Amino acid sequence: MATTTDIGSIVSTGPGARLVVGIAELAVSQTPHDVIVTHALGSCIAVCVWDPVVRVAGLLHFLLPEAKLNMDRARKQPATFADSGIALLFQTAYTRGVDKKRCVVRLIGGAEVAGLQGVAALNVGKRNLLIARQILWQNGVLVSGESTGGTIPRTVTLRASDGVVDVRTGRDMVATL
Amino acid sequence: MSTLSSTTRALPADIVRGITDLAPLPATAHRLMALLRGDDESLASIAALLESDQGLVASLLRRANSARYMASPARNALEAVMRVGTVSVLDLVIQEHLRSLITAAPTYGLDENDLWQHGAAAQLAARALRTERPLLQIPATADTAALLHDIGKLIISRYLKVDAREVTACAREHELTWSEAERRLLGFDHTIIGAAVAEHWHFPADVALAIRHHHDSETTHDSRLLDAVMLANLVAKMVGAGLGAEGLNFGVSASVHERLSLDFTVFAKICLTTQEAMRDLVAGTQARP
Repeated sequence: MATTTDIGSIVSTGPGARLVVGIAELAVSQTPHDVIVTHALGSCIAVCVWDPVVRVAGLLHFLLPEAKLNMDRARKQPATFADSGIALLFQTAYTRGVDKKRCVVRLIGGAEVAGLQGVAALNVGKRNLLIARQILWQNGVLVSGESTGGTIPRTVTLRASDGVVDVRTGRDMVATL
Repeated sequence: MSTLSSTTRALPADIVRGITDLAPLPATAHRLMALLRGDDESLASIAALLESDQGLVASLLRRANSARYMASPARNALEAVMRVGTVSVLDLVIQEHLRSLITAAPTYGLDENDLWQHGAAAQLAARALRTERPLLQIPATADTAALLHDIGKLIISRYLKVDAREVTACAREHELTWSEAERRLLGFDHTIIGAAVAEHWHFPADVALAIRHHHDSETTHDSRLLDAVMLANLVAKMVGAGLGAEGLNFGVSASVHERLSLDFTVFAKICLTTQEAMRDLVAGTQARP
């Protein structure tokens, strides 16, 4: 597995592996037996992409909506933010032959704090979700499935072989996308 | 703090025993708290006490000799204490103590690392908040309170066999926050137990109060320390530290950002600072022999 941790991304080229993506990281795999996993999705969002033709899967776990919040951090670790992270996810996927027109894209996460419904100043989850949808829409990418909102923490697995996304909270399955 | 003490008396015997059986804080912590209260304590004698714990001295020197001080590194405990300040040393002593105590908290869907990391992230968030908002003069003990704020979860998990799914189901069925579901099922929640632990360890009253009320949606306590702990818990959750089964289903005062003069940009900055510091902390912990 080749890694380029300087930009917080993992590109899998080896045999089947379980690629664990942390906050502000992304992974792209074209190995059929790979599974990409990310844990501890609260207000953060996981953007999952899969191209059924070249069978390339990618997952981004971003923390905050916009790179302008900290440009220095965005340069060092683009996957921290929705705008710089989604751009990097697709750029990395394109190098593996992905075509955005074929991409199956799913969004997971964006939970909100129960006690802060409607408090814009602290509402990270809703901002994250809105900007992810907006960026994808502006770039002509269709979102085919979501497991978002609420207050539950989520764990996501994305299978590179068939692009199936499982969403769990604790030991319970929440959704298969 | 009489209300807390009377609450403690009403708790089940197992829980009270759990609190009183917790390993006492090291003598160094009490001496440091006495110094912070203005009691007649000497920094040199505290440093001498610290010297008896080589692991602690190593951690203290590491903190004191961080990058910005590399030009003239501290050579012993006294120099390190003078450099980082009494509160930072107290935090370090408590951190080390908690690390030795903390186990998994299955009632909350938290493994050992989760519970520890949540407290550590909250502590870092409180520190980042104080840096961002110096004019609010938030007491430095907010860092300590943030570190300890969920200690009650440890006691409840250790002494009561409640499954996380039970609490989750209760919260879902009755549309309650996690703490409200705890109170419905158990008659108390982790904030009450946490405050009792803080009292048992002789922390200042405002620390116990912040732990007790950090999930209150409506607070009548005008305390920047409490506000800081509320926000620190929120930030720790935002950066994914110790989400557990509770996730984001917790209470918090909806006007806490107004009292702390925070808009989204500053809040995001605190989240970023905390996440970066956590990454370094976890990397440092994993690198330990």
